[in-house]
Amino acid sequence: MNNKLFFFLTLVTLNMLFFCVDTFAQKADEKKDSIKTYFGKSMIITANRRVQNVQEISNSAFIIEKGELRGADENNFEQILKDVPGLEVYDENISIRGSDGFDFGIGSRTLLMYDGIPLMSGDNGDSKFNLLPLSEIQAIDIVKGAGSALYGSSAIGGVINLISTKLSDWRDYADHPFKIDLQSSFGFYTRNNYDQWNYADNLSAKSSSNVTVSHKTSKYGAIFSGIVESDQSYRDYDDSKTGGVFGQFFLNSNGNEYNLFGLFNSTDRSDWVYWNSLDSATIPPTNLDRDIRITSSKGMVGFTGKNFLSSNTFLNTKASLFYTSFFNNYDKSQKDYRSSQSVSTYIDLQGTSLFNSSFTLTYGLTMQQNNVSSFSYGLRNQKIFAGYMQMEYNFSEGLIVNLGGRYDFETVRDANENSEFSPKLGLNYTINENAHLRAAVGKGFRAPSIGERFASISYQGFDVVENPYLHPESSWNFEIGGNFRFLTPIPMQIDGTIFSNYYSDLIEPLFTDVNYSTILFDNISNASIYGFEFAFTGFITEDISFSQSYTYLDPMDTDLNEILKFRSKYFATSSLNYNYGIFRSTVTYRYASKVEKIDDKLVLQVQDAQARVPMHVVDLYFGLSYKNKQSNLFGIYSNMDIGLNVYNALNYYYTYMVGNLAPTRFIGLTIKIGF
Amino acid sequence: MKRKYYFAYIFLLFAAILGCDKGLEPQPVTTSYVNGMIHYVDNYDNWLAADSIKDLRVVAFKNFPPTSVFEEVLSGRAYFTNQSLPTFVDSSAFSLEIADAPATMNYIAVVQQFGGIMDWRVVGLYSVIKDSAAVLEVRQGKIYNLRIDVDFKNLPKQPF
Repeated sequence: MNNKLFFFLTLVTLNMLFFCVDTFAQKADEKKDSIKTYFGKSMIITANRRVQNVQEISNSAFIIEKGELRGADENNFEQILKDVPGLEVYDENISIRGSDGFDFGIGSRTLLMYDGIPLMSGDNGDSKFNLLPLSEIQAIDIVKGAGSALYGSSAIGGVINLISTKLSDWRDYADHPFKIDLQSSFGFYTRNNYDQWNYADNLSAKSSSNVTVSHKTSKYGAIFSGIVESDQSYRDYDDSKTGGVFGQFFLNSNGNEYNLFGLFNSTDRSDWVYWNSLDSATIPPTNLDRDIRITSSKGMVGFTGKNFLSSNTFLNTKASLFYTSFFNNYDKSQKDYRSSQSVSTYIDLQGTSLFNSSFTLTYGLTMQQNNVSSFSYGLRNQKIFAGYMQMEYNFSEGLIVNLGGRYDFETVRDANENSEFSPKLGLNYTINENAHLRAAVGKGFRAPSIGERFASISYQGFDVVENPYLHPESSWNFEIGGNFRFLTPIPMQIDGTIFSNYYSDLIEPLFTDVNYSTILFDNISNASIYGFEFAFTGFITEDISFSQSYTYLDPMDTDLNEILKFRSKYFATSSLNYNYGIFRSTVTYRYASKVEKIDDKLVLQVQDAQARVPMHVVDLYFGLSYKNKQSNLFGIYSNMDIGLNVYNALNYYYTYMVGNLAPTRFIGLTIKIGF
Repeated sequence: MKRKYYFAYIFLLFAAILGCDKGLEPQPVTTSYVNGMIHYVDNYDNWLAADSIKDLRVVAFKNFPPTSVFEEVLSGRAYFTNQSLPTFVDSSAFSLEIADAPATMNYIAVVQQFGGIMDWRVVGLYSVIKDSAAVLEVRQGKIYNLRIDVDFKNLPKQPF
């Protein structure tokens, strides 16, 4: 069965809407509720580097607000992002509307940030997840489509920005400046339906514990957080243990805001790459040396400041040092030894001037330097200097026009210099308070990472060789869309986008030898991805809400005139939420059509590489959320969340990458207590 | 909203869920595998002289005590790795296909041929309790992963 469940669920939801329309419309009319009762004013900071109503921007965007994070596992951003329309997330790889395929974990086309500071490694150019405690995240902004006009390299597919909880977000705690959050999760992967995939007699467990202590007043604040996590995994030789600490200091002075944060995170894990075969999908190839462990560490010190230079101009300062390292425990003399250390320095000075109520100018300078000291990549240095400017004019007739661009100049030791100009034009037209149209055209680019240029490593049967002649890949992104809200027949929001992306000189792994075991990264293809995306959110009753999204992609390799490798064409998500009092429940369904084409040469290295099916995943959540702002059992402020998560509840088996079975059913209990 | 519509929805949802297949599935396996890793104590330093290792294999004996490697293998009462294991390494993997599972492997060992065709000795033993042979019940269609340590300077008690 391929699409049966997908269409059945859609039919079910549409039926449900049909049944409910009359009765609920009557109630809504009777109450004469404002639409704001159901759909708040969601603010986004990432689209244009300043706080705006999400309906008034020119790009497609999605915001995950704090309330939606409450039931989630700590340290599990991947699971949260999976429900976002048009996103595919696995093993710290993010693909927005088909931007990424299979890249061996090197070179992301999505820029991941924390308060505007990149969380991208200096050597591999990949996103680093799970470094921050969820309790300190106020929202996650996801801006789809090329964002290089403001953010430069890596934002070719889109931008994901984790927004921290600011002092001003702590109004609830004005009388309770001290806060302790304790969180503990424990769960296990259930047994597989096929005995040969049960690699151990005991169930594999996954657990995490997190403590966050914070003290905040209206003028200053401090947070310290620590986490330990252990995952035995649903596969043999795929276990990991992680420990991390995070600290942040806040200072508000005369309307200016300063944040200083630091983090360190270390993981020890097995070196799983792909399965032995479909018949033994939960064990690695039998000739693998299972004593090999990978140790990876990340450390960051960052600063953000917002200073009002005058009544209409403010300066945003961002600076960070991001250290990443990894090594395996082979001896340096052995062929498969890998290690790398990198330090990425980032400075961004951004001014925003509001000349009058209609005209806003955003401008800035950015410098990023990646220093790499690596056995695998050598001693490397990459510098990117950039300047950007964007004008926004708000016409009185409801039309907002954005026009801007960014110039990036890149130098890399032992490689060619590159420069890129990334312009952007965006339009947003407000028909009325609840109807907005938008259009955008912009250019994106991505400079090759150090890893893609200079990798010289052996990796479980693959040899990766260097290619210093790589040049940046680029894209043009066009989209038109609209956002509409209704109160009748039921409170509902519809957001639709039609988009087309044209990619030039895509950097992809290429097999270079007759045995198909030697890989280099090269600018090998041009591609186009057309598509559309629709998302519906609505309230069937005051307690029951739903959301559905559909994404269609037509990813084509325009050089070969065939479908682009490692991409699905259809995606859908569907969720139903029932909240009553302190009780919360959610059913989420995700669908992705079968990946139509992979690199056939992988078949020689990975047994049963062609085994793949569409994805049908159902996640369940049941929880209790108790919040007492006045007093509690102990006479102090408290909140408590107890949640039971069931991921992949149907235990549906599919591959998320070649030769990789996706996570099987997991049942976990999460308890969060805040004092 | 009328309650019956909730029930109708839930019924349809469950019908849809139950109608779904399970996605990928492996071929039904009747053979079983005893896989694993051999770890050599003290790495390279402990290896015997190259000319004293004529052959090195993993053998899973059904019989205990086995009469001899040669006799047990010839009589079909033991499984052995098809090729000699690599020498002068820190560790190496092995895989034994067990065609007649369910079966009981009473003695699983790494054996070294040090002379003629009958000259074999045990250099490493699959054990749960140190120096004591562990029994492995091999079920049909199951894959087992074992660890065997080999210390050429401290050989296990010989069963032959």
